[in-house]
Amino acid sequence: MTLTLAQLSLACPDQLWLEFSESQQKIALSATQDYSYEAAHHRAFLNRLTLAVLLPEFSAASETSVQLASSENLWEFVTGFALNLGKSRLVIIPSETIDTDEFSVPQEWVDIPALAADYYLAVQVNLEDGWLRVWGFTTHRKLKTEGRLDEGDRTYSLDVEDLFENLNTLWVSQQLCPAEKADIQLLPTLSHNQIERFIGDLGKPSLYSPRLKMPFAQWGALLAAEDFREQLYHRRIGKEYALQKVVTLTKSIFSNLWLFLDELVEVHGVNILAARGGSRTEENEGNRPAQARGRMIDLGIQLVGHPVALIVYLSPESNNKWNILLQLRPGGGQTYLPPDVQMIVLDDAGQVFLEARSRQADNWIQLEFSGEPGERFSVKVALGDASLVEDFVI
Amino acid sequence: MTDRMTEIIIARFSTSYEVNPYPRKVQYSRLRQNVEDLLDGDPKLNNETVLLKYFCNQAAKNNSKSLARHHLLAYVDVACYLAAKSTYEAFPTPEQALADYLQIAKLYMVDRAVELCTKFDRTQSKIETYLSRPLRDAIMSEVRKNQETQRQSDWGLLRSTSKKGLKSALQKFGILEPNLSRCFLTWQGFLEVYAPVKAGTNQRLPEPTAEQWEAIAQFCTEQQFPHSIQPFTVPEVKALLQICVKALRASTHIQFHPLDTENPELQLEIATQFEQEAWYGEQDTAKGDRLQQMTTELASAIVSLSRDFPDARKMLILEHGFTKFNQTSIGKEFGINQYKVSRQLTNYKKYLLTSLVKWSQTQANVTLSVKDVDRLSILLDEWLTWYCQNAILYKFLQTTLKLHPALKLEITLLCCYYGCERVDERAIAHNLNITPTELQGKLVQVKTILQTELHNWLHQNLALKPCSLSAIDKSSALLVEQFLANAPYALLTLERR
Repeated sequence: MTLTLAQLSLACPDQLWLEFSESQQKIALSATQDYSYEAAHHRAFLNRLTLAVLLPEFSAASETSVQLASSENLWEFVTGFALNLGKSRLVIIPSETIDTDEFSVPQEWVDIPALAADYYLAVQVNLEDGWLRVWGFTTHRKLKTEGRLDEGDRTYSLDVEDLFENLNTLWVSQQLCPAEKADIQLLPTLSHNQIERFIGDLGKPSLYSPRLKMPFAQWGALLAAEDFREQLYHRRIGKEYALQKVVTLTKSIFSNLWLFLDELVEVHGVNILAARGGSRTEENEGNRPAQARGRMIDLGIQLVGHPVALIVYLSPESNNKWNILLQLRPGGGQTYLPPDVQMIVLDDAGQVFLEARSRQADNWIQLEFSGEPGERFSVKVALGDASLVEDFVI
Repeated sequence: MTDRMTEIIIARFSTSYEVNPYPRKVQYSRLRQNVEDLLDGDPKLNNETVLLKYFCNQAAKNNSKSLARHHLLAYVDVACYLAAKSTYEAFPTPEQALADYLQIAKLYMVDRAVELCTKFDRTQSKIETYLSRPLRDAIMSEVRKNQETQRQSDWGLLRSTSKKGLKSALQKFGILEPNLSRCFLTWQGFLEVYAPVKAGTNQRLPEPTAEQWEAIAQFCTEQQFPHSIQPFTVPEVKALLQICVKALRASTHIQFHPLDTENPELQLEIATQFEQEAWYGEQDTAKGDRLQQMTTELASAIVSLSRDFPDARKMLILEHGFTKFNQTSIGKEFGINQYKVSRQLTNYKKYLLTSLVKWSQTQANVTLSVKDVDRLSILLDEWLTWYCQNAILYKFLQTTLKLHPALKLEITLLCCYYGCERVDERAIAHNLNITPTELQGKLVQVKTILQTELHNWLHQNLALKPCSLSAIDKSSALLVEQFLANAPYALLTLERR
């Protein structure tokens, strides 16, 4: 026998019980974007469905505008979503678990300042019978001070009796009481090299979230930055269009790794004698301007004290062709590249297409070729056993 | 401290609610004797809060079989009974009866009584209010799980349990470290990797694919501590998950007892006991003043609310005044479904809570925390029940008893019958110079008149429809019985003179 929503809601009248239809489930499923593994896809579906059912209810109950305040790419890594409700921020954690003896919140939502909220709501979803309920809520301070942090699965948990049950308490508190947020420890600032390494390691496909693969502080710092998270997400789902992002200047996600040439000079001391465009003032002229971006490359201990920059120049050649010039230049105020650094262009089959190697006292090495939009290539920078490969799509 | 209060304390720590062969209270002589000895030995313990703390400390120090733990189990037993009863009324299933719900509640408390009693703060709420939430959720989860365990595949079952639920099931199943941690880690890996093939179908989920098994094993290998030991293999994670499944199936299979009927007398007795305790508790004049001020404020808020929502007062009285008149019945009166009743009541209470919080902040000149607001929302529910029952319905019944020509003559009889602790009908009848049968006849007549007058009042003042009057019959009979058990006979007798 299946218990009806009316029976269930009579047993817990202070909780919010909501029905949803099969068509709502189908809509949520079809709207769920790409994720790299099945469990993440299901997690995204569950969150999207919960969002669709709760949003109109919360708008009506709280008498303020309610907006989604977190990215969908988070569901590749962790469950939950954030809502802005007036001046308050809520995090909703949906779960299909039947037991409601404890409420567990992933640590990311509590200890990453950019993700942390004022209130955390526990939502139980029953997909078969088509209902969900908000069975309790708590505050950030209560989670931090009274919650149990489980290092194993990185969640904060509170027992059911320690949750607030009545949502009226939430609506009235968020209007009349000050926010109850505990102090959050600042996360470390990651270097470009660390970011590149982490994205490289965690971006490899797996059938589960990479969230437990590195210490929380570093993982938190990586996830906190929307652009790095977006990049990691794209890497995992296999849709990283690096060069397209160079072309599309408005894309901010690339800006932290791929810099304007004047930034490379100012920040990283890259020696650029003859730039072919790429300063921030030159690029926006004409319909298809020449563009350039560069990034610093870390090849570990073999290049200690001799950082190098990979620079990509992109300029129109004919209607459907682009000229691509790749340069490897010394950074850190150095005049010459270290000897024996290789720059190799690989085609989409991974075969060597062009190759250059630095000699003693080379200021730079470069390779030039042309291609059509949609063509893929990779650039490998190597020294001895260490190498880094960057994939591009024109 | 009065003797009556001491008796209540002794009863609280030595009484259990049994279901077989019929629902009743049972006082354990060993527990009673122990409390009496303790109170004799140390008068400071003659206080419910102090004694509770004492037993919590003792139970935490000693093993699970300590007498202190049994006292705590007795202390929470009334909460078990009330939670089982209210959940059963709202959430009945054909497979189980009240006795089964009570058993689930008691089983839940076996493991958690000490922890919950230690956390419990008597200044914030009553024990039955504090425990109603976890007990009700435990009962609902168990009933749902028990139903779904039968129809779920192993993989669906693993997805539907909580971390705490699995840990408890494994421990009860006798799994010890290091296997306990390994089972737990494998389950965590399963949750990370496995997803239902088709959304919305949790039933009979298929086994993980070979690729998923590999991924689970890999997850466990990466996450195990210490990292140096051997990697997990697929056969190993399969075996560990099977242990989890067996433990879960064993823990969710509840041996239900033969079914029992309800015992209305027990319910009345419990309600009376609480009212007496509340009466003893309300001796504090400061509290009384505060309650009076709060009543003035909230009653005025209800008047304002009713200007915008004319149905508000009627709906609140039906919801909070009549315990057995549920939201489905209220919905019939208003021509809406239960869900809409629930919504409207929530909105009305939000309005009242906002008024109460603003008033409290002005009174205390401080900003309240979320916990304070939550406490006020619980207090508001208790106040609404008190206001609708005592200030409105009991007050009407008291006036009727005083003024009705047929009833005012029976006040002496009612005082004799309800005023004594142990009812001896023969002795009461003898004192009144009537037979026991006549005594019973007069009591029935009083109850019938009061109930009829109450129904007339509901019809005239709340415009209750005839179909609702008929539906409210059982609930109004209980209300009249509770009123008679607690009516201020001394005052009524004085007024008669």
